[in-house]
Amino acid sequence: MKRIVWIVCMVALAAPMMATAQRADTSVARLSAVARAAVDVYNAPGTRRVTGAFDVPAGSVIAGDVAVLNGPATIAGRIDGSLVAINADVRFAKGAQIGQQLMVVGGGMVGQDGATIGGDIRSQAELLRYHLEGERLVPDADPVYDDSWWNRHRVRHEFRRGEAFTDFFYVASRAYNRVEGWSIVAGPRFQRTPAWGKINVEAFGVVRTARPIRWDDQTLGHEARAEVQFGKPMGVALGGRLFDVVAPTESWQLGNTEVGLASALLHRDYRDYYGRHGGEVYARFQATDDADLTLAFSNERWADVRDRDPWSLLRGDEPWRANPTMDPGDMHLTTARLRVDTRDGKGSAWMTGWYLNAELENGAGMLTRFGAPVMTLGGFAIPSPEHVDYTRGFVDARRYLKVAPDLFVNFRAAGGGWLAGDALPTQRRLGLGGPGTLPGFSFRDASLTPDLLNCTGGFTQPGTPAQCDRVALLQVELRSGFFWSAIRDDATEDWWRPGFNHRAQWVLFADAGRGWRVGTPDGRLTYSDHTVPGFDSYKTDLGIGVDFGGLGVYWAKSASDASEPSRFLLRLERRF
Amino acid sequence: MQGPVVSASDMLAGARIRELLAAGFPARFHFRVELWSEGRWVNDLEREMEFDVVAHYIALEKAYEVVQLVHDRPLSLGKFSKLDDVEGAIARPTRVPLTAFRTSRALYYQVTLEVTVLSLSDLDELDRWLKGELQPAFSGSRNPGTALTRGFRALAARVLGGERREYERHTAPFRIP
Repeated sequence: MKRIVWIVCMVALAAPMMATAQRADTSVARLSAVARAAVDVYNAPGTRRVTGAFDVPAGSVIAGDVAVLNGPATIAGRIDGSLVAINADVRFAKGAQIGQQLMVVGGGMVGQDGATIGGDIRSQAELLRYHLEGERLVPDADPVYDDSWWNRHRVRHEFRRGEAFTDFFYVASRAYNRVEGWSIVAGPRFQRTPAWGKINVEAFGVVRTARPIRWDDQTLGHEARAEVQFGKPMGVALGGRLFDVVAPTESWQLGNTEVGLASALLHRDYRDYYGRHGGEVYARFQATDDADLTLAFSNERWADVRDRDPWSLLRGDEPWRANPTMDPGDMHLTTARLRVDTRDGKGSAWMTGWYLNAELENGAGMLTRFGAPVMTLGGFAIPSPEHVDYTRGFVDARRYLKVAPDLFVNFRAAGGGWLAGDALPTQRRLGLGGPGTLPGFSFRDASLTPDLLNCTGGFTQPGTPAQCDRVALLQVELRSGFFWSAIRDDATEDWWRPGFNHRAQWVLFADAGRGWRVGTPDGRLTYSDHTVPGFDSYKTDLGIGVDFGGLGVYWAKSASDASEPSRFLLRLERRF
Repeated sequence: MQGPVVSASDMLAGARIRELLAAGFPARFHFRVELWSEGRWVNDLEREMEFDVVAHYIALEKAYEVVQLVHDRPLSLGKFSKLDDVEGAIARPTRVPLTAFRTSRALYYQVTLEVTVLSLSDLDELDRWLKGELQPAFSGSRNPGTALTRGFRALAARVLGGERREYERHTAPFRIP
């Protein structure tokens, strides 16, 4: 059956509405004449008031006025007085009688042609907003629209998924980092949502603010994308990308916000970077917003990029951690990505559901392995371009469970790495440790012996690049809200406390993980390709914290390495 | 000047959504109403507002309740034993305070309706909204149950239910004299 959404455009002039704020004002209700009359009858002392279904069978007679709230009212007999229906439908049987007026507000009428109405029939289509004070019905004012300039600006410029927009000059910044500084993308973008799917086009130039600013590929880049989706919410999207960007090697550990702020404020960059210049075509099979599978083919040139000296608020006179040397070359990548995200209340304190992000990548091409020097008897061998063909997989699976009305247990298992073929390029190697994975251990700390977190194997390289072929990480946390009135958790009160209105929760957590290399087993750092290290070799930590929703304070201590100091962390996002 | 009146009819016409409602899955009807102005090349979104209508089954009362939520303010549209009455309550016309204004451009309204059968955490969220303002809230009839049960319900609602639908309508362009 055809479903219909109706919009009745009311362009009749009436008193101009004062728009002040988007909060409901219950003090003054502007009522139509029929609504006011209906409310008066409802509140009159002699009126018989009924909430819910009301039937007057054939042959029965009701004296006086009747007011029905929500209804429906089914009339086959006689009402001597008036009938008022508020937010209720009225159905008349043949021969039904209303002695006086019939007033219907927020409902419809059926069969009135076969009924006898003694007085006027007055109706109003739209429903009446009200609250009850005892038996008295008090109309509420309709919500008013926030027509302030900042709301107009928000409406015109905010990005909303799944809806049409056009921006001739869209400007945004990606995560601040020690290679690019501010990476500002600017250009036109366009999205339309025709009945058959979605069209999305964007063409951005990239400007990097890290000094020295020059008219070359160190300062300038580009990123353009065109995509056409057939079908929605389920469908197939075909698209292509052209890019000349600086990309992070391990973006799975921390989000862009935290990485950017840590770099800009604290002079701490928790990622490493390399240059990507090329193009990609892809097909994405979209199964609503909850799941998609993407197959991508790209041809790109990887470049080594050096850290520069962008501004930071604190420790600006200290050198940045060097961006590790990467493996430059020309690569063809074939990638399959699966995303399943059934989480409800994303980012909120009551988030529950599943999250799965899995990626399988085959890379083939010519690389020069500057990032993984090989020690020979005469020193480090000078690398030369070599053909590389590798396969790598990575899975990040999470389960967010609510086990009691205000108690949550969340699990995360992440890991992956080399699967087949040649050794992984430095760009694709992995490491653990730091606030995003094992907060009881330092980020890129190679002091452990053996180094089970970054797999450096005793070689010290600038920036301490992650050198593990594989990693495994398990995380669990227990969360619950504070029953503490001093911490407001009323999310609707954002007018006085923007950004701090989520429910505060205490968090207990434990993490375990390690990395390893694949090769000739040595029982410590290197294992054969079919072996997974025993859990007793994992690095573990425990911690506690308070998550205020978007702002969390945590304390973590290594459980496996007593010499590791305890660490305090400030997180701007959930741990995972 | 008054804003448009929005109504969605025949929202429970499909057997699947009726089955899900009867099985205890609340249904949410999320309305997004927008006022657009027509430009020479592109149209501009001028104003927008959202509200929800939620229908859910109260097992203890053997009745369906329909609640409208505007700016987190709930308004009960009634409890009904028949799904046809529930459908009628969902279809109650609602005036939206998006007033058109004088401009050289033609204006039009567009409404998008997303129909979703809710999962567990939505229930919890609604529970928060309604607690203390509408009684009984959803919590009364629910077995706190096991995580497994909740997980299966959420999975069923999200993956198996096929319950998310979207509709879109717009008015003809008009001008304010």
